[in-house]
Amino acid sequence: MDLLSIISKVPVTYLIFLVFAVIAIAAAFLVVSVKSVMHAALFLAVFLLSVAAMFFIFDADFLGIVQILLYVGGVIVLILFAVMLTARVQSHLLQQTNEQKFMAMFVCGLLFIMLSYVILTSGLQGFEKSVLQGGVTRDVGRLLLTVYVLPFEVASVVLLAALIGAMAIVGKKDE
Amino acid sequence: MNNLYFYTILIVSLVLFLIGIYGVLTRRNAIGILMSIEIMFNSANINLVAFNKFLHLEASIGIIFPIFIITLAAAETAVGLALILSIYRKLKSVYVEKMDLLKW
Repeated sequence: MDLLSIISKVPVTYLIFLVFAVIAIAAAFLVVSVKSVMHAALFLAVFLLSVAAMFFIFDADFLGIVQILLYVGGVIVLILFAVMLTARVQSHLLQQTNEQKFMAMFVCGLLFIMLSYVILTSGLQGFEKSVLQGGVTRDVGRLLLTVYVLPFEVASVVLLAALIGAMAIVGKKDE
Repeated sequence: MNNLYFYTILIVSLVLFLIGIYGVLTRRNAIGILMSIEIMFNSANINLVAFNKFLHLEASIGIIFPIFIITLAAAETAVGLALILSIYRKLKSVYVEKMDLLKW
């Protein structure tokens, strides 16, 4: 009965979050470990969708929609095109990892110990914030056009420069 | 209970970030490295959104920052893939150990 009372106190969003966290970690692990780069790109799509689901759980619905539109709709398509354009050198038989595998695992384990120690001793107190009236999207829109209007415009200039730069790099005719 | 929820989110995003670092360190394929970088961006975004939800911030700053991060990540991916394709035309390879022109 004691276990049951503990379980009944757990919020449902926490359980849903745990499911998507497991999916995200498994998909991310497959992205870095699977041999075929095409499969890695598709697992990256699974990872990005589960992150979008996490954003929805954390009341950031606008961000979840942006994530699906921009990442799953844009970045994944770009990556898939790049993989298919370089398909001649993407053989399954080729080794896809370098010889630093165990060193990298060691570095990651060490970083995990250090950073989780920092997180668990940080003393941050998490309270669940009550949802804003009219959702968070109204607040975001107001902030983007008042306080953060300069970074907003700079980001648009950066996007334009990146577009022109990408076209200038790739579209060059071979002489 | 809320504290447990909050710290679980932080640990999950830490694990995702470390998986991204592992991918950057071990992948030979330049496109694979770009994908690992995307994983790292997303783990940082999860962190920021969790701070917005669980720490009492004045405004939704934790939503604004991930929007800029996502925008810049999209720009970075476009330029990065353009560079990889242009290198592929010259070297006929996307493996990073072949890109050693500037290596001493």
